[in-house]
Amino acid sequence: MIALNNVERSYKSGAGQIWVLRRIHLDIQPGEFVTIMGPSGAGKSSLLNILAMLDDHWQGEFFFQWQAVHTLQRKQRAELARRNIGMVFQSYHLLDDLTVAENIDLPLTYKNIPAPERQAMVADILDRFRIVAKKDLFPSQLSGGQQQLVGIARAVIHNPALLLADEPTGNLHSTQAREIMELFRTLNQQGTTIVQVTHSEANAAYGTRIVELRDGWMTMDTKHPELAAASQGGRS
Amino acid sequence: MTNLWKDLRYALRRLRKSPGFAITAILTLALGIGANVVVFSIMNALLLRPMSYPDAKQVYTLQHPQQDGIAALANSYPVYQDLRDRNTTFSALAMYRFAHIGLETRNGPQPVWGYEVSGNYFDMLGVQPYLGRLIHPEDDTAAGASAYVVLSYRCWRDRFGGDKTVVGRIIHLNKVPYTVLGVAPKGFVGTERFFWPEVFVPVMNQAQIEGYDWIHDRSEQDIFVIGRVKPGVTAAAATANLNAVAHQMAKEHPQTEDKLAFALAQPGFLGNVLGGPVKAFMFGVVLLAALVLLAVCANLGGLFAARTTDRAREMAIRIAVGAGRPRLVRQLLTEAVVLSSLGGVAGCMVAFGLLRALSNWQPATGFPIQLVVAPDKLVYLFAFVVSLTAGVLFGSVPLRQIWNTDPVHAIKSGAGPLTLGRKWSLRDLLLSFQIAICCLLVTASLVAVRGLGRTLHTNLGFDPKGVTTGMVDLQLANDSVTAAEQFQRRLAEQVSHLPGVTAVGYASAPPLSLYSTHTSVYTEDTADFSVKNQKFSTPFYKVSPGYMTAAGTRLIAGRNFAEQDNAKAPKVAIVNQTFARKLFGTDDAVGRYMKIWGDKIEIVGVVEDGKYESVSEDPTPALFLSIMQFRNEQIFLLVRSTRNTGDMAAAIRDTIRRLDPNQPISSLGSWQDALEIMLLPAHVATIALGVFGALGILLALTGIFGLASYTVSRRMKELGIRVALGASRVQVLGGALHRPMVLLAFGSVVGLVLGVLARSVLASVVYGAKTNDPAVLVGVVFTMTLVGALATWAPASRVLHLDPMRLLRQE
Ligand SMILES: Nc1ncnc2c1ncn2[C@@H]1O[C@H](COP(=O)(O)OP(=O)(O)O)[C@@H](O)[C@H]1O
Ligand SMILES: [Mg+2]
Repeated sequence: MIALNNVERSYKSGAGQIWVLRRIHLDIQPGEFVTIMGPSGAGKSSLLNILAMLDDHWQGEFFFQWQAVHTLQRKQRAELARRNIGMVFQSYHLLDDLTVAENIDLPLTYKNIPAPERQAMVADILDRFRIVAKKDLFPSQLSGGQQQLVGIARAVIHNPALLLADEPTGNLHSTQAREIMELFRTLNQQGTTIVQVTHSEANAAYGTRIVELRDGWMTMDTKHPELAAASQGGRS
Repeated sequence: MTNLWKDLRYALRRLRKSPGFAITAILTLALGIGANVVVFSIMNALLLRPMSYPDAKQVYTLQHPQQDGIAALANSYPVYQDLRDRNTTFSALAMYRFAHIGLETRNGPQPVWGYEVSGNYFDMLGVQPYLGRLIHPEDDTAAGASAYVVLSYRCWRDRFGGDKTVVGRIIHLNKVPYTVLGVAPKGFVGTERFFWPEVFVPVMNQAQIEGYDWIHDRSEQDIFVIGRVKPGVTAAAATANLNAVAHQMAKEHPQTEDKLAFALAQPGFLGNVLGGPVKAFMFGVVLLAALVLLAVCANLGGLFAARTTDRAREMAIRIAVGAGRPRLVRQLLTEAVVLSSLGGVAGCMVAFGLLRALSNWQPATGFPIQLVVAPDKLVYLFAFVVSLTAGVLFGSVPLRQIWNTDPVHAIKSGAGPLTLGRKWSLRDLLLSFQIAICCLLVTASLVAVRGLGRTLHTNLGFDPKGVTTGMVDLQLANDSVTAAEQFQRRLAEQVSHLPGVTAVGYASAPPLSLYSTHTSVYTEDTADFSVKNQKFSTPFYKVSPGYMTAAGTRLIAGRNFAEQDNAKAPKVAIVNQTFARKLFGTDDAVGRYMKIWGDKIEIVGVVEDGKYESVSEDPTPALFLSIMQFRNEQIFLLVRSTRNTGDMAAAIRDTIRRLDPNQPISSLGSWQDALEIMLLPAHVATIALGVFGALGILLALTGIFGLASYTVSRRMKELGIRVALGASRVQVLGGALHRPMVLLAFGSVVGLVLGVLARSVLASVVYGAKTNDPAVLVGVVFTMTLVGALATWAPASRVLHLDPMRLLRQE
């Protein structure tokens, strides 16, 4: 589903270029549940942003469902992402002035789906996530765990093939985090490919594969045990 | 006190923290306060400030009581002498007269305006010289006896380089050597607020200066009398005294002084002849300036409310830790007043610069029209009060917000940055109010510009170039009606033989003069001449056969008046095209009839349309009658010639004098000069309204820009989320700028409606203002659209280039 070849990302800073991703090679098959780990500042979010196609300023090759993302225009990328990708954020990023239902509905309003159909989809997901009772509340009236539930509902409302989550439980208690992870597992079992970033080993245990980043380099991939040794050798 | 100091320091610190906000606010305030200071200074100079001599309240101009709404000012010199010698209520009575003088300067001879004054003029006013000495009674005893001249301060500074050795020097006035006696003090600009003389000469030298001797002639009414009432004497007592003298004089000189009567007026506007229109104009302009300030306050009130919203959390925390709400309010007001004071200072600097330029500006009217508007104590006080008021006004906008702050709620919700503000807030209301005012200002200025455009490109229906005019009023000379008619015909006849004259005509009044009169027009078959049956009312002019040619008015059909159109012949008329169309629905009016004053009149000719009462008027009907059938004792002589106005005027004077030495003539001069005076208000109004329009545009720009960039910057993160969730940039842009655009549209519509409704106010500034002119409406819509596009340009491009990845980065 995803193939990154030699992807690199750098930022210009006053002093010069800062590399945040180096020579990333990553294959992700449909149905995988990948966890990206690594210390803070390693480049995890940067990688996720590239996968989410929010970032346009990287080098290398990126194939998404056999489409060469690196050859696409910004508009085409946005279109591709809109149809196939959902995103969950650490701080939820719900819109405070919209109700739970309206927040969930938001991605659909950008996709020219007729209103009755949208209503049905929202009702369905509220039901699946068991938050029907909360649908008319505003985010500020919910607990953090509930807010993240809404965030995830919003991310999957349009049945994306790929769900990206950047430290989705970073702001939550462990009980709340467990609930979210259970939900991810369910989604994954229903066929959604998931890539999550987390610091928690417990969360990582829900996944099927762990990738580790350090200083922008991929230093470990449980699917390719040989990588760790190679990178050790390559960098010393 | 320490609290105030603390608040002040806190306010300054907060302003330093947001320099962008502080600078915009100060600039906006500078505009609003500056505009008001300029307008107030002008009003102060024109209406409030005393004239530039001591005890000005005791000094009065003598004018004749109003007739037909027009007050007259001029008297003859002998009348002045009699008044001076016989009154018992004035400590001194002086006279002055405007004179055009060729002044020899370092750069050769220059035409300047001066006053011919009686010897007691300066002593009566109590003015002290800046250099040398001024004219005294002993310098004004006989013609040519004292060839002395006093220079105004400005003339001395500008034309003589401020050279102090000028006193005693001989300079030439109209090629005659005059000795410079001295220089008048700096602030002294004569006894008119608009007409500033550069030189003062003893009036006894008038024949030398003007090339024509009028001073002993009771029929030459061209001087202004001004006097200082004795201490303790009321104006009413002085008036009664003058009228008693006048009554006596009327008996002694019934030919020229019959019905002579006087009223007193404050000097400055030719007595108060020009006072009414000037006051109406000032009122309109003051109103517009106040609107500008109101718009500024709305603008800043909105910004303040926005900043308060941003600080809701901080406020809540302060309240939670025990700060009283009154204290927060005081802090906010301090900040507002600090801003408005800084804005006031900046505004004053701009205003005083403008006023200096205005003081140096001299419109090209051929008249020494000028205005000194240097700021005085009153202006400073005004600026201070206005600044303070503005600060309190816009500072109070967020009060309700503070009062309603709920510490618990605000702290919990964190007043997060994702608030969309669904409801229409006070801020939105303020912005649309502000835009409405701005739109009104734009409307006003476009109306003025349109008016000026019409003025400049309009066909007057006559050609004033090369025409000399003068008013001859035979009523004043007490002629019988037939004698008057004969005199008028002889005068025209003789003037036509003067060398260089190509055409001569006369009329009861020329178009575009202050002497316009109207009559009701009825159809031929009307029997009942009540107002309800009138077809329309038209300005009319009684004219001589030579008038159309002399005025340069084109005959389109039929014939001109001729000698046979006299009292014995059937009554005839010439009308303009609009008249013909209005009465008959066609230009083809020759041979048809209509009725005025019950008389059936045949139309024998049709002339081109022109302008009759204002240059900016719509096509207006006009009616010309034969002056031999409808007599008029007062006539305006129109003499078209190839010679210059000065020569022509002298020749006309001679002719009148030969016909009747007692016959007064006034307003002798070029027709174009006379019209320029009529046009000056339009020019001034256009400039004034143009400036207000520009201010309006600027304020609308900053207002919408302020809201749009504020909305966008507050919503950047939200917009980033939307993009991350799949919104296209255009969709996001629509969402972000929807509200400023709606407000712009709403405010503009309200402003336009107000503009149409405010027609009468605008009309006091621009004569004949039309706000429902489609060109103006289109112009306003176009301008406001442009304003919207410009003001949202930067915020919009910020939205289009937003980087969701960066916005969503987690701290
Ligand atoms: N917009 C940016 N400009 C400059 N440097 C950035 C920017 N975004 C991220 N970085 C840098 O890139 C590196 C990787 O950041 P990030 O991908 O957020 O790491 P992680 O998510 O693993 O903590 C960090 O050193 C960070 O400072
Ligand atoms: Mg991160």
